[in-house]
Amino acid sequence: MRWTLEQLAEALRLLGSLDRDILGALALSLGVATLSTTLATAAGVPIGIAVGLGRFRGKQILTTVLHALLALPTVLIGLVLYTALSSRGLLGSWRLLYTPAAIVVGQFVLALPLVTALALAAAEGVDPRVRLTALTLGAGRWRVARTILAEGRGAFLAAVVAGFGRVFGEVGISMMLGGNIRGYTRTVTTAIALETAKGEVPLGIALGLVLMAVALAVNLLFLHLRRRATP
Amino acid sequence: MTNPAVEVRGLAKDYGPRRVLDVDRFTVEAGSISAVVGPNGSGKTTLLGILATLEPPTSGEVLLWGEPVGRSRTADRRLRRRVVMVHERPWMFHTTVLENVAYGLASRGVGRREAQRRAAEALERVGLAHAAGWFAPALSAGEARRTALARALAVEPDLAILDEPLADVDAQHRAGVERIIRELPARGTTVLLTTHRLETAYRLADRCASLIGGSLRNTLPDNHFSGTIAESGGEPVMAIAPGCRLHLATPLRGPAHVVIDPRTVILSREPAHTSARNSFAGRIAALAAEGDRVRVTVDVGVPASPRGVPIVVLITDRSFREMNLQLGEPVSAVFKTVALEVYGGKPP
Repeated sequence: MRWTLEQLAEALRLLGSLDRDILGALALSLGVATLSTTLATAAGVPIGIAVGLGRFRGKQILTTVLHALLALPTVLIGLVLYTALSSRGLLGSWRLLYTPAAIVVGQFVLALPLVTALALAAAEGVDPRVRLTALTLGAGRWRVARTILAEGRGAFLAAVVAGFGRVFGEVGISMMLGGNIRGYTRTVTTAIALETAKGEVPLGIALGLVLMAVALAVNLLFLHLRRRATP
Repeated sequence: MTNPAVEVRGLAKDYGPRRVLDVDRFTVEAGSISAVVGPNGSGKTTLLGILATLEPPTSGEVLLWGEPVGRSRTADRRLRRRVVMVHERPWMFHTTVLENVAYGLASRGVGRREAQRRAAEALERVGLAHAAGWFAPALSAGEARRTALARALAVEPDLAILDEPLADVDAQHRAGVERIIRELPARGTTVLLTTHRLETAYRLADRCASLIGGSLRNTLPDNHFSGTIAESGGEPVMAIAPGCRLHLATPLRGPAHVVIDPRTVILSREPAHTSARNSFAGRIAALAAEGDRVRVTVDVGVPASPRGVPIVVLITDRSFREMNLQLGEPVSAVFKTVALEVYGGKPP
């Protein structure tokens, strides 16, 4: 108990003197998470709406597969992409491995099923009268989709928040595809893993507190947006 | 015979194994107001959704202005732009009332300012000009319905399909809404509306059809009575005219519709002394052959009134000849309480 408290006190002291390494890792974590979530949103929300509103054969199977993908462990995504991106791999010529871009690709793959599945549920949750009303008032397919997005904006925003939360806190992909290179691909989560393994527990705790604080701040921002979206 | 705006042939709609709609033939003349009367759950909304091209039928054909629906996506879209449906519980988009009313115009590529001007005009027509800036989902049910009517009429459709347009509209605005609907044909809009109130249909429509249990008749059903089921002497009754009460066998109370199958009504020369609870004395007002049966219309009740309540009785040709019934002859129409089908009403 005493040891734990000592570590915590040391962590708080370290937080007071935020060094450049911590800030750099934080900036990278935020940057890659934002970019990968944006890409997953751009792809996942339209797919979710299309599948959610569509009536076609195999919809149930598609939805089930999508839900199964939610359970995909980050290390597995990391492993598959590692084999694809390493120099002898299928996409080796892209020279992406151990770059921030590789982390973005991995996090995109991680967030896509989640954002798509939640957007699908959001589209299905929108009152069916929205679509019928838009259609009968002469809206084309794009306008119908835009109207559904606008009417269900709270639920769609929740899909984006969930996607961000999933990628911001993951460690497997960042570690395997980024390589935890100090000052280049070291994110907050990989730094925690490294510092703890090195025995620098206070620094690990300090980084964890930073991660939680930023996650809280981002969610408060989304909450604010959501409040404004659903009066 | 004018050109029909809507023509339906052999239309059926199934939800799973259940057939909810089965309409052999149905037409709506262009420039007319037609009403479909039926209790809730009779398939009215499903029929309207199909005619508004919002839902495909399971089988059968719908023609709008002679053009079949469902041939191609572009043709359907073109037809859909001439038709607007107002749902029974209309959806209000989460924006202002004015933006809601301008939606259809914006969908047609009308510029923002022009769309808002025309939307404001449409709101004025339904008496909601003052609500233009309000948040639409916060409107009362009656206001939402009037907004939905304005939203539909703003695009000046060739066919307006209105599902229960007067439900929830308060008494103060009812006449206004009725007037707007009545004026639509003169503005080039054909109207097809549904109602569960027979009076509304009679007041507004040029032609009425009835939809009961998913099947449509181009006429109102025989022996369809609307009224309120009340208790009298511990027994449910419905007054259908002064001094003329139907005895019912139902646990339901309140506003309801009652249909009596004309084949189950017995004609009797003498005032009947039977176990049947309903016996009405009257005179034969009309006689008509209908296949191997004879359709006898008996005007019953209302002693001082020049017009009685017509009760239609179908009897076989043979009984007709044996009874030797004559026009104007006094007879009694007799039927059991279980012969009455009750629609609507609520458990007490």
